[in-house]
Amino acid sequence: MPLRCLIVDDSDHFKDAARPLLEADGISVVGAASTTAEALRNCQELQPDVVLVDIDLGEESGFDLVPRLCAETGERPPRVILISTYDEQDFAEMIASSPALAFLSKPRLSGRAIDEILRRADA
Amino acid sequence: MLLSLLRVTRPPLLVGVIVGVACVTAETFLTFLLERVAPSNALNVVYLVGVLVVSYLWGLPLGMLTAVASGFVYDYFLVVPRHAVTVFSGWSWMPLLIFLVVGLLVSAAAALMRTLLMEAEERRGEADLEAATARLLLRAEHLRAALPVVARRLAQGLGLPFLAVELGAAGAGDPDKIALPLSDDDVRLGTLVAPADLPAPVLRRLRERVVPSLEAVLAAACDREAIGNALAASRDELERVADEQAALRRVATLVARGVRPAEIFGAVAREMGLIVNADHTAVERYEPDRTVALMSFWSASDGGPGPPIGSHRPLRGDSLSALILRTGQPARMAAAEGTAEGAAGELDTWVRDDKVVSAIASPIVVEARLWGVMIAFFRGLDPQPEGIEERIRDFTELVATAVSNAQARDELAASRARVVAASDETRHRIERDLHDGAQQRLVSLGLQLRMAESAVPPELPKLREQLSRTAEGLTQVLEDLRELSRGIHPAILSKGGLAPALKMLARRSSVPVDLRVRLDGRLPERVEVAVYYIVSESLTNVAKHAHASLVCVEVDAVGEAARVAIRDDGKGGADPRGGSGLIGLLDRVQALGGTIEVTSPAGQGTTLTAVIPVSSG
Repeated sequence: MPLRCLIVDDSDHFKDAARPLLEADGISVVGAASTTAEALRNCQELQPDVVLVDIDLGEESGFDLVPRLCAETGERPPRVILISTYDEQDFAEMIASSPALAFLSKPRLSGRAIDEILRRADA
Repeated sequence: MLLSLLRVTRPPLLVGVIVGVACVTAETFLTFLLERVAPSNALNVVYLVGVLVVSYLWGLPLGMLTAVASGFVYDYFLVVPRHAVTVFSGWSWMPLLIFLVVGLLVSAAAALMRTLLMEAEERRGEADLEAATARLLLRAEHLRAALPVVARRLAQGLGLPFLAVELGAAGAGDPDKIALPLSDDDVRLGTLVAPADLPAPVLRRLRERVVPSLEAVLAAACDREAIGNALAASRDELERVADEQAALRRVATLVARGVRPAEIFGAVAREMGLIVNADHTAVERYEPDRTVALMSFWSASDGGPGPPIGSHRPLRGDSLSALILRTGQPARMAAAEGTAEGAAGELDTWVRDDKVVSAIASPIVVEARLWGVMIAFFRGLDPQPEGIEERIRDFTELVATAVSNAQARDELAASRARVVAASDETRHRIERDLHDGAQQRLVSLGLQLRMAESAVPPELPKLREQLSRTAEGLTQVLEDLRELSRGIHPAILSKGGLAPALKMLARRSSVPVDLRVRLDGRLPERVEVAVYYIVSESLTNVAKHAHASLVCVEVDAVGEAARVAIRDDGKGGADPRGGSGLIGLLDRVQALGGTIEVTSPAGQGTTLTAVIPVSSG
């Protein structure tokens, strides 16, 4: 059964590019959201295995969304990976203090990179 | 010789008698001796000596007696027949007659000389007195105080029981005293008061000789005193002008130094109060809602605290402040007498002093607009000197300058702050546009390229490699764009706040950083941006110039101000004025009302400290 994934990003360009890329890598992109509210709703409905959350959600912040995703989505919260075009170094402290599993730079996005993160987390 | 024998007072009478007898006796013996060599009828000349001496020294009566005695003795002893008085029978009455005539003439001449001598003596005494009087009067600091001394001296010198010299008319109406007017060219200077029962000659002497000289000296003394008073008055005036100039200079210095307007208002109220001798002074500002705000208040006496500075009162229609607002001209106002509610209330709303009865006010015009009014309150009703409005205006002009300066300064600071804020705003927007637009598009393109790369059939390795290189190149462009973007505006600052942003800077610094941050939640954005750039710029400078092994960055923003201290252990000697980076920081910090300071002694590292008020955000 393929990994079920939800993408939370306010950039349609990115979502349009990421979906086929991940699908090609064998990850099922079950939904996409642009705002915190949409993300929380989709998460409840779709129960994804993993959520990719952009740090920058326009007026909202991905850092604020992550703890809510973990706390407000019932008994089996999804695993969250923060994504961004920013450099990881810039947000190191905030990433470290976030409940997200890891940070993944957008240009490095791939099914293998997500698998690796999940494997590392499980180990 | 003869004159020296002559005295004002004659020698004693007994001595005269003895001298007379001795002369006659001696002359008789002399004629006995001379009789042998000279004819006896010529010897009567010898007797003339005695007559001359006695008449000269003792006057007419004793002279006559000597003449008679000489006549008879000559007749008795030397005229034949001897030892008989022949005066009444022969010619021997002739010598007697000559003796009498000579005695008469000599004693008359002596009496005349004596009179002259006495008068000369008197004159000399009077001259001495005059000199003493002149000295006393002309040297006296206060003419009035010197007059009794002069009068006592005069009385002593003239041998009178008392004398008094008064200024103006005096001594009239007292029957025991006589008043002699002292005038100078018909101007009555004073009065010489003398006892009424003086003998006529003494009175005449007073009138004819003492009064004229006293008049001359008194006139000179009066002139001298008038000149002295004029000098003292001009000296006082000069002193007043100097005081005023000094006060104005003090206030002007404050204005030039750009101290807070409140301090200047206080100084102006005090200095003006002292200069115009007011009991209270106030500086008021007109408010748009027909009230006045008290900017400063001063009282000459310590009558407890004045009204609170900054308090507002409605502008009463009949008050001086309202009058100035209507006319825009300096004005003075005196309380109507018998006002029931107290004079001060009628004059103005601030003064709670029932004794205040008049006030003078001058408008404060700032850049052609009536800004406020400066008022001086007086307890006395007596008209204040004419030019007082002018003097108050000198102070109001300084107040106007201070207000105008402060406004200009505030406007400059505000405009600077606006410039900095606008620039920050623009940079933030550019960063966002880059991130949301170009960067996302490039990322998406990169992902698409990678997909295309993976979709290339294995038999086309060249195309695959080409696509891979293009994707790598795109990633590099993204890296560069990210770097550029970070320089334009640090996203971490708006997303994570100052602490993560500073940690990011510390992490990126090529010189190790010891970072200590004390923060209490988020700061105003402008302050965060300023602190960020201060640290960022400093770390860049340290990396470029300082050759340091460690930088210590301390940020403490728990209180009312954010304090930043950045110390390195490098070579120091940096020019604090140099570098456009520091000037940019200075602009940024000053726009927020903060300060920035750099010390960089050679060989002892560089320290930058900045303080930025937090509340101003």
